[in-house]
Amino acid sequence: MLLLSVIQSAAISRISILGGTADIVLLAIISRAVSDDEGNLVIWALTGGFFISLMTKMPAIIVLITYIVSAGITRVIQKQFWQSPILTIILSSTVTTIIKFIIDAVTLQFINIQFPIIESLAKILFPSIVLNLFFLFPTYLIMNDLSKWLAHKKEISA
Amino acid sequence: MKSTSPRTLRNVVAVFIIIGIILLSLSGVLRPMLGFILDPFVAAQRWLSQRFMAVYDFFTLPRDVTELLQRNALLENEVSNLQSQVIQLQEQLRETEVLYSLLDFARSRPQDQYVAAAVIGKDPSPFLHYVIIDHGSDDGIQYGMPVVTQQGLVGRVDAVTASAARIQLITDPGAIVNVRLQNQNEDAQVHGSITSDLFLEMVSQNVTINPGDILLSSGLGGNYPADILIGQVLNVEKTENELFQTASVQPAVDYEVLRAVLVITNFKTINIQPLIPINK
Repeated sequence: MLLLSVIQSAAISRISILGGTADIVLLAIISRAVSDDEGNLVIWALTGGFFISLMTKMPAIIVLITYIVSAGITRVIQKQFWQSPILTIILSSTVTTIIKFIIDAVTLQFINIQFPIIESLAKILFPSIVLNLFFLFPTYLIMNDLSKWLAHKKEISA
Repeated sequence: MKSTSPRTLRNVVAVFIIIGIILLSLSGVLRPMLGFILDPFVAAQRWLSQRFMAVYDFFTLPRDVTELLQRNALLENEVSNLQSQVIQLQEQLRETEVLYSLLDFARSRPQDQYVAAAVIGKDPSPFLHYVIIDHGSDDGIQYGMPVVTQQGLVGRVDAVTASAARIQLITDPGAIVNVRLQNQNEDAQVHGSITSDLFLEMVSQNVTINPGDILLSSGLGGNYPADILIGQVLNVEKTENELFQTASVQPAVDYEVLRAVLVITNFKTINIQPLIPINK
């Protein structure tokens, strides 16, 4: 997660369409939620949130809440569409991006920052959804391989 | 007198004929005839030579192809290495150009002391506009120090660690910069926004603002030094029933390609909070 956070700050955040950017930490959490058991998911969300909160001006508690809620929503969607992981990750990516947008918007209102809704939807939310979908499949493939590798390690050590 | 034998006579005649032919061929008289006679031999030789070379190539070509492939692979490797070196050198040249322009700016303002830093990251949130630089408190950087480039004002230091710092850009929605309209010599404010647009606000209705007007930092409020370029006025919005007029601003600095910045280390920010009356 530390590596993903560094990549997010150093590279991914610089790739933008209008004002929107991708969030590969969020995509990694979604991918783990689809392909892993429940125990580790909260740890992944907390770890990712912790490292991102070191870099962002957003309040740390908001970042942590966002990633934990996203992990939970992905888990719910996965239980509905368990037979189709591809559909699950696409739907989760879109829904969690919207949830993250809403949480950030409410937070910014609380800290007295003007938030033009229509302009933010057009220039930030929709481009962010597009960019998240663009980075979704490579992230999912990498995280899927990682979870298989970890599972294999567990079997060997057991 | 001895009679000449027929054999001797034959030999003499043959010699004279040969000498005659040689003399005629040297003079060029026999050239057309020689061409006519030799042409079939030349054609036969050409045909034979082509067939022979085909057979020769058939047996020797595999060796040549292997050598050529090896040589080709070596050359391709060498080309790749050279291309990598060219890319590295181009990148170094670009960095050098950026640093030279920062140096020029620093020399033009000798009263300030600077620490140059590279931009190594951006805030992951799309709503906030902060960048991360690779110098921190170990290099003398403190909270609140203004940050500039040769193009103009970038922002101010918002958070510092030992080896890194976070800079709030002037396009951040929480950033407010006190500015002065250069032509009109009027004070106003520039606000950032979530969409990284800059807006000029708090301009009196009496002031005439034109697109293209230059905005400089005024130094009021004590957060930024004075006379640093902010940007230019783009579009003016003047509504009669409003107290102030507003305008959109084109920033002087291109924040999308920000690679290196200068932190002004000898500028002391002034805290005027104690002077601001509390609204009861």
